Amino acid sequence: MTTTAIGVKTRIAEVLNIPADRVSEEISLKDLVSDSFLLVEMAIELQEDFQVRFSQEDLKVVHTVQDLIALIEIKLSSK
Amino acid sequence: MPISDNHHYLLSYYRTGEITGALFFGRLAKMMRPGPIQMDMTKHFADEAAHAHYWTEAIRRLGREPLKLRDSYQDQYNEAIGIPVNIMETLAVTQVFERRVINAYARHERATNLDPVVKETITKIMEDEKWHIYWIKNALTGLEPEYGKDHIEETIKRYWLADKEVYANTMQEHEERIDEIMKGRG
Repeated sequence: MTTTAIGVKTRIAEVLNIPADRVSEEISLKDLVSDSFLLVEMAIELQEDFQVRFSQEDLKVVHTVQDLIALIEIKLSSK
Repeated sequence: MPISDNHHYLLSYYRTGEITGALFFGRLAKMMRPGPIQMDMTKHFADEAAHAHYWTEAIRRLGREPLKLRDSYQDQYNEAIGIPVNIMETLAVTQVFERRVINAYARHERATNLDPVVKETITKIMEDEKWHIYWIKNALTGLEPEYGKDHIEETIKRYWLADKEVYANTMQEHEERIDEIMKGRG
């Protein structure tokens, strides 16, 4: 697992206030986050932590935690 | 004399919308990093909560109890607009929404034979709403170096179009009620 993946999963667990081991890479964000505001909060926190910026277009293809990690890794590599 | 059912529903709808706004901005304010946006967002949250209180008080002064309504206008947004994913998008969608609110209150304020309690409440709230538009506009201007002026303008335009769609699709009942009130029959 990459450092980014560990960081993303840890941050998601903190924002959602759940144990980190519940945040598997395969789990869908819809299953993980029932409240749409928490998704907003999570997206903003991750952008601030990793110093990247998402758009709504970016998130259209993000369905799982793995997709989110991949998006952040792409953003980081293109900086 | 207690207010009509139309008025009762509409004022309760306003109250629910203000509560939804307060909860949204409260959560945003809680997660903001220190700075001017955090400060203004916190006041915005407090204003929305106060407005919910004003409507609760007004409805009771008019002889009714607030209706417990499930959905607010904001709830229709996520489906049509998508979830805002950064602070700029959050402020942009809020600016569009606040303009919709101001227009709705201004229209209601022009109604024939409007009860003084409703008029007084709208007037009080409108002062805050004007400030909401002002601070959000300034905050968006401050974000231009980071997000780009054109991109911010495109985002606001996209939200305007979505707002029109949400309004057209979901607000027919609201329109009928406000029409009755405008004619002094509400």
